[in-house]
Amino acid sequence: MFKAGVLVYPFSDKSGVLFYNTDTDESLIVDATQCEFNVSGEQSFPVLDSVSERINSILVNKGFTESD
Amino acid sequence: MTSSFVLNCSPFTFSVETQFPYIKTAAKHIYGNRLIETHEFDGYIDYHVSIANSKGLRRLLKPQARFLCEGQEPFKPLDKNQGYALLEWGLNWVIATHEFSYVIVHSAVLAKGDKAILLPAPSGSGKSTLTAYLSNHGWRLLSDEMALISPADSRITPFVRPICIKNNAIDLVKTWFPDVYVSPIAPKTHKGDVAHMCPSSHSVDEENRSAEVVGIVFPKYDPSCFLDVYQLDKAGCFQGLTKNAFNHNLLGAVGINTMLNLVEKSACFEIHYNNMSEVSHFLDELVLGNNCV
Repeated sequence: MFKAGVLVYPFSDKSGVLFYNTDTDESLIVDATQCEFNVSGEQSFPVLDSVSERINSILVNKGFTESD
Repeated sequence: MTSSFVLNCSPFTFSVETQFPYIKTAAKHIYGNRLIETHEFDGYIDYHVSIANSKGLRRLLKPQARFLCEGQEPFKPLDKNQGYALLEWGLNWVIATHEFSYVIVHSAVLAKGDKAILLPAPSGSGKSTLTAYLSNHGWRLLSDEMALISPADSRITPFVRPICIKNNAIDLVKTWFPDVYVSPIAPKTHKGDVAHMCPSSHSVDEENRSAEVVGIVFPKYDPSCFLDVYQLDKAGCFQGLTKNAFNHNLLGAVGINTMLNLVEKSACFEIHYNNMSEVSHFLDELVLGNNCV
């Protein structure tokens, strides 16, 4: 679960996914292949479905998400 | 004796006081009719700055120029011969640290019509020499130093001020453009010898015309390369842009979304060059929307 104020953005050319914490100014760009997006929902923009275990642990360590 | 004047330099207006007469003379050459005598100006002043002499005995023995803005003195005093450069750097500092209505990136901006190219680069990359060449070869200068990006539409607001040229480039630029005014050289600054070159009149004439960014090009002067062009992916371009940004983090989500929007709608490149004319042709193709790789 992402903390409030975290922005997730997949670049259109699939060159990476940006995670940006607007509260702490911490940012991280990860390999787009490590993230899965749902583009079939009602939203007009892709929604992050899941990330690999390795990326998940980085996101937790850097304070983007709450650990389960 | 203190003289004062107003620099009406869209989109900002500065009131300037100085105890060094040569600074006003240089500013008059550089800013032309955008320099207004204080008693003739009745508009709104955004920032009050001054280039003051040092105090006490030092002002007689070894005068130094001090930049002051609203009671703050962000820089150490410099030799009085570096006073004009200090004024220009001070105005950059004022905008970079006080303006939050724009996302600001350390970048030159040049345009053809209302199609603009961003040239973000650190000091020493040859950005200003390239900007001096291009702005006198058909390109409109929006800024040599900082891109003012409107968060609402990611368009660039011109902030047309002199081009800061350094060291060997000073003689080069004077040879290229013998009719263009260049300020007295500020010797031995932390950037070496520095002078400021007057912006082209057509750039000043269009200082109220914003432009849409179509390309982001990271330039690097390399004497061994005629022109090498490398296409950047969006993530790499975003990282490069944020390294050169002044205030995107202070603006939070607005700043980041503005930068993302800019990257997504622009063609992104890094160029290594030693031939300015080839760079100009490359940028021409970019604003025309042609495939440049």
